[in-house]
Amino acid sequence: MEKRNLFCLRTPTNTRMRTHTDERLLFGMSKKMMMIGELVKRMSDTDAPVLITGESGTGKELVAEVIHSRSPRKAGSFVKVHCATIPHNLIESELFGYEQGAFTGADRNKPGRLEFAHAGTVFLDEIATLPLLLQSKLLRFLQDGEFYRLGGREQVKVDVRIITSTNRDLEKLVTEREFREDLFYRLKVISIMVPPLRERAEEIPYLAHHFLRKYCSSFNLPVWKLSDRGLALLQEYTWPGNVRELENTMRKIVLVNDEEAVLHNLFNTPIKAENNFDTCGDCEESSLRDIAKKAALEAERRAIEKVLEQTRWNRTQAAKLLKISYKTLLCKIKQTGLDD
Amino acid sequence: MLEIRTDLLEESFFNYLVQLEILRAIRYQNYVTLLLMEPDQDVHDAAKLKEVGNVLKQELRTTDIIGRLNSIQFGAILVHADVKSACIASERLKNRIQEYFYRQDHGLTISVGGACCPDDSTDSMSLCTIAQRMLIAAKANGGNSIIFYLKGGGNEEPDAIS
Repeated sequence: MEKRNLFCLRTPTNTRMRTHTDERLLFGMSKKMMMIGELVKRMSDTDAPVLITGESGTGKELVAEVIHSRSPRKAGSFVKVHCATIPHNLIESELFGYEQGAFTGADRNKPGRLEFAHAGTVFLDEIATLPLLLQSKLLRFLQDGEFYRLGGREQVKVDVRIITSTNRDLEKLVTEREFREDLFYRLKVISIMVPPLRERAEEIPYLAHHFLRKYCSSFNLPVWKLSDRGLALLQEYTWPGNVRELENTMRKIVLVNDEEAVLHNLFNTPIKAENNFDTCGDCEESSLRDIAKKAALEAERRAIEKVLEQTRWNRTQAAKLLKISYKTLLCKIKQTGLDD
Repeated sequence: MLEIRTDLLEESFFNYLVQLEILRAIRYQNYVTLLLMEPDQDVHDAAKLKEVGNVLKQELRTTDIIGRLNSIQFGAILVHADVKSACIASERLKNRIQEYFYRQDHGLTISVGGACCPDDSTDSMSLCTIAQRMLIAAKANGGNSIIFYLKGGGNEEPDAIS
Protein backbone atom coordinates (compact mmCIF):
# COMPACT_ATOMS: atom_id res chain seq x y z
CA MET A 1 0.00 0.00 0.00
CA GLU A 2 1.43 3.32 -1.03
CA LYS A 3 2.21 5.82 1.69
CA ARG A 4 0.20 8.41 -0.17
CA ASN A 5 -2.95 6.29 -0.09
CA LEU A 6 -2.71 5.99 3.64
CA PHE A 7 -3.10 9.72 4.11
CA CYS A 8 -5.94 10.27 1.69
CA LEU A 9 -9.26 9.97 3.33
CA ARG A 10 -12.23 9.00 1.19
CA THR A 11 -14.23 12.19 0.78
CA PRO A 12 -17.67 11.50 2.14
CA THR A 13 -20.31 11.84 -0.54
CA ASN A 14 -22.85 14.16 0.89
CA THR A 15 -25.29 13.32 -1.83
CA ARG A 16 -25.71 10.42 -4.17
CA MET A 17 -26.70 12.62 -7.07
CA ARG A 18 -23.14 13.19 -8.05
CA THR A 19 -23.32 12.85 -11.76
CA HIS A 20 -25.17 14.61 -14.47
CA THR A 21 -26.51 11.30 -15.78
CA ASP A 22 -28.11 10.51 -12.44
CA GLU A 23 -29.95 13.79 -12.46
CA ARG A 24 -31.05 13.26 -16.03
CA LEU A 25 -32.40 9.84 -15.07
CA LEU A 26 -34.43 11.37 -12.28
CA PHE A 27 -35.82 14.41 -14.03
CA GLY A 28 -35.36 13.88 -17.73
CA MET A 29 -37.30 10.75 -18.56
CA SER A 30 -40.94 11.81 -18.45
CA LYS A 31 -42.95 14.97 -18.79
CA LYS A 32 -44.16 14.97 -15.21
CA MET A 33 -40.67 14.57 -13.79
CA MET A 34 -39.35 17.21 -16.17
CA MET A 35 -41.83 19.67 -14.70
CA ILE A 36 -40.58 18.83 -11.24
CA GLY A 37 -37.03 19.32 -12.49
CA GLU A 38 -38.00 22.75 -13.74
CA LEU A 39 -39.54 23.63 -10.40
CA VAL A 40 -36.39 22.51 -8.61
CA LYS A 41 -34.31 24.68 -10.93
CA ARG A 42 -36.54 27.67 -10.34
CA MET A 43 -36.29 27.37 -6.56
CA SER A 44 -32.56 26.88 -6.60
CA ASP A 45 -31.71 30.20 -5.02
CA THR A 46 -34.21 30.08 -2.20
CA ASP A 47 -34.00 28.68 1.28
CA ALA A 48 -37.67 28.00 1.77
CA PRO A 49 -38.91 24.79 3.41
CA VAL A 50 -40.01 22.15 0.94
CA LEU A 51 -42.55 19.38 1.45
CA ILE A 52 -42.20 16.41 -0.89
CA THR A 53 -45.16 14.05 -1.10
CA GLY A 54 -45.65 10.86 -3.04
CA GLU A 55 -46.01 7.13 -2.72
CA SER A 56 -43.27 5.06 -1.14
CA GLY A 57 -40.36 4.29 -3.45
CA THR A 58 -40.88 7.18 -5.87
CA GLY A 59 -37.61 8.96 -5.20
CA LYS A 60 -38.51 11.65 -2.67
CA GLU A 61 -35.11 11.41 -0.99
CA LEU A 62 -33.33 11.80 -4.34
CA VAL A 63 -35.36 14.91 -5.14
CA ALA A 64 -34.37 16.33 -1.74
CA GLU A 65 -30.70 15.66 -2.47
CA VAL A 66 -30.92 17.47 -5.78
CA ILE A 67 -32.65 20.43 -4.15
CA HIS A 68 -29.83 20.65 -1.63
CA SER A 69 -27.10 20.31 -4.23
CA ARG A 70 -28.57 23.14 -6.27
CA SER A 71 -29.25 25.42 -3.33
CA PRO A 72 -26.95 28.11 -1.92
CA ARG A 73 -26.24 25.62 0.87
CA LYS A 74 -24.69 22.99 -1.33
CA ALA A 75 -21.34 23.31 0.39
CA GLY A 76 -22.94 22.47 3.74
CA SER A 77 -24.02 19.12 5.09
CA PHE A 78 -27.12 17.25 3.99
CA VAL A 79 -28.38 15.51 7.11
CA LYS A 80 -31.07 12.86 6.73
CA VAL A 81 -33.32 11.89 9.63
CA HIS A 82 -35.70 8.99 9.04
CA CYS A 83 -38.38 9.81 11.58
CA ALA A 84 -40.23 6.57 11.01
CA THR A 85 -37.28 4.43 12.07
CA ILE A 86 -36.57 6.18 15.35
CA PRO A 87 -38.58 5.16 18.44
CA HIS A 88 -40.93 7.93 19.52
CA ASN A 89 -39.27 8.50 22.85
CA LEU A 90 -35.87 8.93 21.24
CA ILE A 91 -36.68 11.30 18.39
CA GLU A 92 -36.33 14.39 20.54
CA SER A 93 -32.85 13.53 21.74
CA GLU A 94 -31.85 12.47 18.23
CA LEU A 95 -32.91 15.75 16.65
CA PHE A 96 -32.11 18.22 19.41
CA GLY A 97 -29.47 16.45 21.50
CA TYR A 98 -29.16 16.34 25.25
CA GLU A 99 -27.06 17.71 28.06
CA GLN A 100 -25.10 15.66 30.51
CA GLY A 101 -27.29 14.58 33.38
CA ALA A 102 -30.58 15.31 31.61
CA PHE A 103 -31.75 11.79 32.37
CA THR A 104 -30.34 8.51 33.62
CA GLY A 105 -27.77 7.38 31.11
CA ALA A 106 -26.99 10.86 29.84
CA ASP A 107 -23.35 10.70 30.77
CA ARG A 108 -22.14 13.22 28.23
CA ASN A 109 -23.35 16.07 26.12
CA LYS A 110 -24.72 14.82 22.84
CA PRO A 111 -25.24 17.18 19.94
CA GLY A 112 -28.50 16.86 18.03
CA ARG A 113 -28.71 16.09 14.32
CA LEU A 114 -29.87 19.64 13.68
CA GLU A 115 -26.54 20.95 14.92
CA PHE A 116 -24.68 18.85 12.39
CA ALA A 117 -26.77 20.43 9.67
CA HIS A 118 -25.76 23.98 10.57
CA ALA A 119 -25.34 26.04 7.40
CA GLY A 120 -26.69 23.05 5.48
CA THR A 121 -29.93 21.20 4.90
CA VAL A 122 -31.82 18.77 7.08
CA PHE A 123 -34.12 16.22 5.43
CA LEU A 124 -36.88 14.85 7.66
CA ASP A 125 -38.22 11.72 6.07
CA GLU A 126 -41.74 10.61 6.98
CA ILE A 127 -42.63 13.75 8.90
CA ALA A 128 -46.13 12.39 9.50
CA THR A 129 -44.76 9.99 12.12
CA LEU A 130 -43.47 12.82 14.29
CA PRO A 131 -45.32 12.80 17.64
CA LEU A 132 -47.49 15.85 18.37
CA LEU A 133 -45.25 17.09 21.17
CA LEU A 134 -42.29 17.15 18.86
CA GLN A 135 -44.27 18.88 16.16
CA SER A 136 -44.66 21.83 18.53
CA LYS A 137 -40.95 21.89 19.26
CA LEU A 138 -40.14 21.71 15.57
CA LEU A 139 -42.58 24.53 14.84
CA ARG A 140 -40.93 26.70 17.48
CA PHE A 141 -37.57 25.92 15.94
CA LEU A 142 -38.79 26.81 12.45
CA GLN A 143 -40.05 30.12 13.74
CA ASP A 144 -37.06 31.17 15.85
CA GLY A 145 -34.13 29.15 14.58
CA GLU A 146 -33.36 28.23 18.19
CA PHE A 147 -34.05 25.30 20.45
CA TYR A 148 -33.16 23.87 23.84
CA ARG A 149 -31.40 20.56 24.14
CA LEU A 150 -33.00 18.02 26.42
CA GLY A 151 -32.13 19.24 29.88
CA GLY A 152 -30.45 22.28 28.40
CA ARG A 153 -30.51 25.70 29.97
CA GLU A 154 -29.21 27.71 27.06
CA GLN A 155 -30.75 28.08 23.67
CA VAL A 156 -28.85 26.66 20.73
CA LYS A 157 -29.01 28.63 17.53
CA VAL A 158 -28.69 26.78 14.22
CA ASP A 159 -29.15 27.88 10.67
CA VAL A 160 -30.68 25.05 8.64
CA ARG A 161 -32.96 24.64 5.68
CA ILE A 162 -35.69 22.07 6.14
CA ILE A 163 -36.93 19.62 3.54
CA THR A 164 -39.58 17.12 4.62
CA SER A 165 -41.28 14.21 2.95
CA THR A 166 -44.27 12.01 3.57
CA ASN A 167 -46.31 9.34 1.84
CA ARG A 168 -49.38 10.08 3.98
CA ASP A 169 -52.07 12.61 3.27
CA LEU A 170 -51.01 15.41 5.61
CA GLU A 171 -54.12 17.48 5.03
CA LYS A 172 -56.24 14.57 6.18
CA LEU A 173 -54.04 14.15 9.24
CA VAL A 174 -54.52 17.83 10.00
CA THR A 175 -58.31 17.48 9.95
CA GLU A 176 -57.99 14.40 12.14
CA ARG A 177 -55.85 16.47 14.50
CA GLU A 178 -52.92 14.10 14.13
CA PHE A 179 -50.76 16.81 12.63
CA ARG A 180 -50.51 20.46 13.60
CA GLU A 181 -52.06 22.82 11.09
CA ASP A 182 -49.61 25.65 11.74
CA LEU A 183 -46.65 23.32 11.26
CA PHE A 184 -48.25 21.97 8.08
CA TYR A 185 -48.41 25.40 6.49
CA ARG A 186 -44.89 26.23 7.60
CA LEU A 187 -43.47 23.11 6.04
CA LYS A 188 -45.18 23.31 2.71
CA VAL A 189 -44.04 26.71 1.56
CA ILE A 190 -42.95 24.85 -1.55
CA SER A 191 -44.79 21.63 -2.24
CA ILE A 192 -43.66 18.93 -4.65
CA MET A 193 -45.76 15.92 -5.52
CA VAL A 194 -43.75 13.08 -7.01
CA PRO A 195 -46.06 10.98 -9.20
CA PRO A 196 -46.14 7.19 -8.83
CA LEU A 197 -44.32 5.17 -11.47
CA ARG A 198 -47.49 3.99 -13.16
CA GLU A 199 -48.35 7.58 -14.03
CA ARG A 200 -45.03 8.01 -15.79
CA ALA A 201 -44.72 4.63 -17.44
CA GLU A 202 -42.60 6.02 -20.27
CA GLU A 203 -39.69 6.06 -17.82
CA ILE A 204 -39.81 2.34 -17.20
CA PRO A 205 -37.61 1.17 -20.10
CA TYR A 206 -34.87 3.67 -19.25
CA LEU A 207 -34.99 2.94 -15.54
CA ALA A 208 -35.08 -0.82 -16.16
CA HIS A 209 -31.99 -0.67 -18.37
CA HIS A 210 -30.21 1.54 -15.90
CA PHE A 211 -30.82 -0.90 -13.05
CA LEU A 212 -29.95 -3.92 -15.17
CA ARG A 213 -26.65 -2.32 -16.10
CA LYS A 214 -26.01 -1.37 -12.47
CA TYR A 215 -26.57 -4.86 -11.09
CA CYS A 216 -24.86 -6.65 -13.92
CA SER A 217 -21.78 -4.62 -13.31
CA SER A 218 -21.92 -4.96 -9.54
CA PHE A 219 -22.26 -8.76 -9.79
CA ASN A 220 -19.71 -8.84 -12.57
CA LEU A 221 -22.06 -10.43 -15.09
CA PRO A 222 -22.52 -9.66 -18.78
CA VAL A 223 -25.19 -7.07 -19.43
CA TRP A 224 -28.70 -8.46 -19.59
CA LYS A 225 -31.02 -7.29 -22.29
CA LEU A 226 -34.73 -7.49 -21.67
CA SER A 227 -36.89 -9.09 -24.32
CA ASP A 228 -39.56 -6.97 -25.99
CA ARG A 229 -42.23 -9.01 -24.33
CA GLY A 230 -40.58 -8.50 -20.95
CA LEU A 231 -40.44 -4.78 -21.50
CA ALA A 232 -44.11 -4.72 -22.46
CA LEU A 233 -45.01 -6.65 -19.31
CA LEU A 234 -43.06 -4.20 -17.18
CA GLN A 235 -45.02 -1.32 -18.58
CA GLU A 236 -48.31 -3.04 -17.92
CA TYR A 237 -47.66 -3.72 -14.26
CA THR A 238 -49.00 -1.25 -11.71
CA TRP A 239 -45.84 -1.03 -9.58
CA PRO A 240 -47.33 -0.47 -6.13
CA GLY A 241 -43.78 -0.19 -4.82
CA ASN A 242 -42.79 2.19 -7.59
CA VAL A 243 -39.17 2.69 -8.58
CA ARG A 244 -37.83 0.78 -5.59
CA GLU A 245 -39.87 -2.26 -6.63
CA LEU A 246 -38.66 -1.89 -10.20
CA GLU A 247 -35.08 -1.79 -9.00
CA ASN A 248 -35.52 -4.90 -6.86
CA THR A 249 -37.20 -6.74 -9.70
CA MET A 250 -34.31 -5.96 -12.04
CA ARG A 251 -31.90 -7.08 -9.39
CA LYS A 252 -33.79 -10.35 -9.05
CA ILE A 253 -33.70 -10.89 -12.80
CA VAL A 254 -29.96 -10.46 -12.84
CA LEU A 255 -29.41 -12.75 -9.86
CA VAL A 256 -31.83 -15.49 -10.89
CA ASN A 257 -30.88 -15.16 -14.55
CA ASP A 258 -34.46 -15.82 -15.58
CA GLU A 259 -36.63 -13.03 -16.89
CA GLU A 260 -39.73 -15.21 -17.44
CA ALA A 261 -40.00 -16.57 -13.94
CA VAL A 262 -39.43 -13.25 -12.21
CA LEU A 263 -41.93 -11.40 -14.36
CA HIS A 264 -44.43 -14.22 -14.04
CA ASN A 265 -44.18 -14.02 -10.25
CA LEU A 266 -44.62 -10.30 -10.44
CA PHE A 267 -48.07 -10.60 -11.89
CA ASN A 268 -49.22 -13.35 -9.55
CA THR A 269 -49.99 -11.46 -6.42
CA PRO A 270 -48.52 -13.43 -3.52
CA ILE A 271 -51.54 -12.80 -1.30
CA LYS A 272 -53.64 -15.42 -3.06
CA ALA A 273 -51.33 -18.41 -2.58
CA GLU A 274 -50.67 -17.72 1.11
CA ASN A 275 -52.66 -20.62 2.54
CA ASN A 276 -50.55 -23.75 2.45
CA PHE A 277 -53.53 -25.96 3.04
CA ASP A 278 -55.18 -24.71 -0.08
CA THR A 279 -54.16 -27.84 -1.96
CA CYS A 280 -57.70 -28.69 -2.84
CA GLY A 281 -57.65 -26.20 -5.68
CA ASP A 282 -60.72 -23.99 -5.95
CA CYS A 283 -62.91 -25.04 -3.17
CA GLU A 284 -65.05 -21.96 -3.26
CA GLU A 285 -68.14 -24.00 -4.07
CA SER A 286 -67.57 -26.58 -1.32
CA SER A 287 -69.25 -26.50 2.05
CA LEU A 288 -67.28 -26.11 5.24
CA ARG A 289 -67.64 -29.79 6.05
CA ASP A 290 -66.16 -30.79 2.72
CA ILE A 291 -63.28 -28.43 3.22
CA ALA A 292 -62.60 -29.83 6.69
CA LYS A 293 -62.75 -33.37 5.31
CA LYS A 294 -60.35 -32.56 2.53
CA ALA A 295 -57.96 -30.85 4.94
CA ALA A 296 -58.05 -33.83 7.30
CA LEU A 297 -57.32 -36.23 4.44
CA GLU A 298 -54.42 -34.12 3.33
CA ALA A 299 -52.97 -34.07 6.84
CA GLU A 300 -53.35 -37.83 7.14
CA ARG A 301 -51.72 -38.34 3.80
CA ARG A 302 -48.71 -36.34 4.80
CA ALA A 303 -48.35 -38.12 8.14
CA ILE A 304 -48.64 -41.57 6.59
CA GLU A 305 -46.23 -40.74 3.82
CA LYS A 306 -43.67 -39.57 6.32
CA VAL A 307 -43.90 -42.69 8.45
CA LEU A 308 -43.83 -44.97 5.41
CA GLU A 309 -40.65 -43.34 4.28
CA GLN A 310 -39.22 -43.78 7.73
CA THR A 311 -40.01 -47.51 7.79
CA ARG A 312 -39.07 -47.87 4.13
CA TRP A 313 -42.61 -48.88 3.22
CA ASN A 314 -42.78 -51.62 5.81
CA ARG A 315 -46.50 -51.31 6.35
CA THR A 316 -46.61 -53.46 9.51
CA GLN A 317 -44.09 -51.28 11.28
CA ALA A 318 -45.73 -48.14 9.96
CA ALA A 319 -49.09 -49.21 11.34
CA LYS A 320 -47.50 -49.82 14.73
CA LEU A 321 -45.89 -46.37 14.71
CA LEU A 322 -49.13 -44.69 13.71
CA LYS A 323 -50.99 -46.72 16.35
CA ILE A 324 -53.60 -48.01 13.90
CA SER A 325 -54.33 -51.53 12.70
CA TYR A 326 -52.64 -52.92 9.61
CA LYS A 327 -56.00 -53.09 7.87
CA THR A 328 -56.80 -49.45 8.63
CA LEU A 329 -53.45 -48.42 7.27
CA LEU A 330 -54.03 -50.21 3.98
CA CYS A 331 -57.45 -48.59 3.77
CA LYS A 332 -56.00 -45.12 4.40
CA ILE A 333 -53.26 -45.65 1.86
CA LYS A 334 -55.90 -46.43 -0.74
CA GLN A 335 -58.08 -43.50 0.34
CA THR A 336 -55.36 -40.91 0.18
CA GLY A 337 -54.01 -42.28 -3.04
CA LEU A 338 -50.57 -43.10 -1.78
CA ASP A 339 -50.50 -46.42 -3.53
CA ASP A 340 -50.37 -45.11 -7.08
CA MET B 1 4.08 8.66 11.14
CA LEU B 2 5.82 10.06 14.20
CA GLU B 3 7.90 13.18 13.94
CA ILE B 4 11.52 12.58 14.88
CA ARG B 5 12.31 15.41 17.22
CA THR B 6 9.20 15.43 19.39
CA ASP B 7 7.78 11.91 18.99
CA LEU B 8 4.42 13.43 18.13
CA LEU B 9 2.41 12.82 14.96
CA GLU B 10 3.54 14.39 11.70
CA GLU B 11 1.41 17.02 10.06
CA SER B 12 -0.04 14.91 7.23
CA PHE B 13 -1.07 12.09 9.51
CA PHE B 14 -2.53 14.52 12.02
CA ASN B 15 -4.64 16.11 9.28
CA TYR B 16 -5.84 12.68 8.22
CA LEU B 17 -6.94 12.02 11.79
CA VAL B 18 -8.73 15.38 11.97
CA GLN B 19 -10.81 14.34 8.99
CA LEU B 20 -11.41 10.90 10.44
CA GLU B 21 -12.47 12.17 13.85
CA ILE B 22 -14.87 14.64 12.28
CA LEU B 23 -16.45 11.85 10.27
CA ARG B 24 -16.77 9.82 13.46
CA ALA B 25 -18.30 12.75 15.30
CA ILE B 26 -20.91 13.14 12.61
CA ARG B 27 -21.66 9.46 12.40
CA TYR B 28 -21.88 8.75 16.12
CA GLN B 29 -23.20 12.18 17.11
CA ASN B 30 -20.33 13.31 19.33
CA TYR B 31 -18.40 16.49 19.83
CA VAL B 32 -14.79 16.89 18.74
CA THR B 33 -12.58 19.93 19.29
CA LEU B 34 -9.44 20.95 17.46
CA LEU B 35 -6.80 22.92 19.37
CA LEU B 36 -3.86 24.74 17.81
CA MET B 37 -1.08 25.79 20.14
CA GLU B 38 2.04 27.93 19.71
CA PRO B 39 4.67 29.06 22.19
CA ASP B 40 4.67 32.82 22.71
CA GLN B 41 8.45 33.02 22.94
CA ASP B 42 10.96 31.94 20.29
CA VAL B 43 12.09 28.40 20.83
CA HIS B 44 15.14 27.21 18.92
CA ASP B 45 16.03 24.37 21.18
CA ALA B 46 14.78 21.03 19.89
CA ALA B 47 14.97 19.55 23.36
CA LYS B 48 12.70 22.26 24.72
CA LEU B 49 10.12 21.54 22.01
CA LYS B 50 10.23 17.90 22.95
CA GLU B 51 9.55 18.84 26.55
CA VAL B 52 6.54 20.90 25.49
CA GLY B 53 5.32 17.84 23.59
CA ASN B 54 5.75 15.71 26.69
CA VAL B 55 3.75 18.08 28.85
CA LEU B 56 0.98 18.00 26.25
CA LYS B 57 0.99 14.24 26.32
CA GLN B 58 0.81 14.19 30.10
CA GLU B 59 -1.96 16.73 30.47
CA LEU B 60 -4.29 15.63 27.73
CA ARG B 61 -6.16 12.35 27.74
CA THR B 62 -4.62 9.17 26.33
CA THR B 63 -7.43 9.14 23.80
CA ASP B 64 -6.70 12.66 22.58
CA ILE B 65 -4.52 13.02 19.50
CA ILE B 66 -1.45 15.26 19.51
CA GLY B 67 0.68 16.32 16.59
CA ARG B 68 3.45 18.70 15.61
CA LEU B 69 2.26 20.75 12.68
CA ASN B 70 5.28 22.88 11.85
CA SER B 71 8.42 24.18 13.47
CA ILE B 72 6.53 25.98 16.22
CA GLN B 73 2.90 24.85 16.07
CA PHE B 74 1.28 21.94 17.87
CA GLY B 75 -2.17 20.53 17.31
CA ALA B 76 -4.50 18.45 19.44
CA ILE B 77 -7.75 16.67 18.69
CA LEU B 78 -9.92 16.40 21.78
CA VAL B 79 -12.38 13.62 21.15
CA HIS B 80 -15.86 13.84 22.69
CA ALA B 81 -15.07 17.29 24.04
CA ASP B 82 -17.43 20.19 23.55
CA VAL B 83 -16.37 23.82 23.87
CA LYS B 84 -16.76 23.91 27.66
CA SER B 85 -14.66 20.81 28.34
CA ALA B 86 -12.11 21.90 25.77
CA CYS B 87 -11.80 25.25 27.53
CA ILE B 88 -11.18 23.54 30.85
CA ALA B 89 -8.58 21.27 29.29
CA SER B 90 -6.82 24.15 27.50
CA GLU B 91 -6.76 26.17 30.70
CA ARG B 92 -5.15 23.32 32.56
CA LEU B 93 -2.65 22.84 29.75
CA LYS B 94 -1.68 26.46 29.56
CA ASN B 95 -1.13 26.67 33.30
CA ARG B 96 0.87 23.48 33.39
CA ILE B 97 3.20 24.72 30.66
CA GLN B 98 3.65 27.97 32.47
CA GLU B 99 4.51 26.17 35.73
CA TYR B 100 6.79 23.65 34.11
CA PHE B 101 8.97 26.20 32.37
CA TYR B 102 8.76 28.77 35.15
CA ARG B 103 12.26 28.33 36.45
CA GLN B 104 13.90 27.87 33.06
CA ASP B 105 15.57 30.82 31.26
CA HIS B 106 12.82 33.26 30.51
CA GLY B 107 9.94 30.89 31.13
CA LEU B 108 7.52 29.76 28.43
CA THR B 109 3.86 30.35 27.76
CA ILE B 110 1.58 29.21 24.95
CA SER B 111 -1.39 30.60 23.06
CA VAL B 112 -4.24 28.32 22.16
CA GLY B 113 -6.90 28.64 19.49
CA GLY B 114 -9.77 26.21 19.38
CA ALA B 115 -12.67 25.20 17.16
CA CYS B 116 -15.40 22.67 17.84
CA CYS B 117 -17.38 20.37 15.62
CA PRO B 118 -20.38 20.55 15.11
CA ASP B 119 -20.69 23.98 16.71
CA ASP B 120 -18.26 25.81 14.48
CA SER B 121 -18.12 23.62 11.40
CA THR B 122 -18.61 20.09 10.20
CA ASP B 123 -15.87 20.30 7.60
CA SER B 124 -12.23 19.66 8.44
CA MET B 125 -10.79 22.42 6.27
CA SER B 126 -12.97 25.14 7.71
CA LEU B 127 -12.50 23.80 11.24
CA CYS B 128 -8.74 24.18 10.79
CA THR B 129 -9.19 27.67 9.38
CA ILE B 130 -11.32 28.75 12.32
CA ALA B 131 -8.85 27.31 14.82
CA GLN B 132 -6.03 29.14 13.02
CA ARG B 133 -7.93 32.41 13.27
CA MET B 134 -8.55 31.84 16.96
CA LEU B 135 -4.87 31.18 17.49
CA ILE B 136 -3.98 34.46 15.77
CA ALA B 137 -6.48 36.24 17.99
CA ALA B 138 -4.97 34.61 21.07
CA LYS B 139 -1.51 35.79 20.03
CA ALA B 140 -2.84 39.27 19.37
CA ASN B 141 -4.28 39.21 22.84
CA GLY B 142 -0.75 39.27 24.18
CA GLY B 143 -0.09 35.58 24.44
CA ASN B 144 -0.72 33.13 27.28
CA SER B 145 -4.38 33.06 26.34
CA ILE B 146 -7.02 30.73 24.98
CA ILE B 147 -9.60 31.78 22.48
CA PHE B 148 -12.59 29.82 21.21
CA TYR B 149 -15.21 31.02 18.80
CA LEU B 150 -18.69 31.60 20.12
CA LYS B 151 -21.45 31.55 17.54
CA GLY B 152 -23.22 34.51 19.07
CA GLY B 153 -20.36 36.65 17.87
CA GLY B 154 -18.25 37.18 20.95
CA ASN B 155 -15.10 35.27 21.58
CA GLU B 156 -14.66 33.35 24.72
CA GLU B 157 -11.42 33.68 26.45
CA PRO B 158 -10.23 33.12 29.82
CA ASP B 159 -7.25 35.19 30.20
CA ALA B 160 -4.77 37.65 31.04
CA ILE B 161 -1.32 38.13 29.97
CA SER B 162 1.43 37.37 32.28
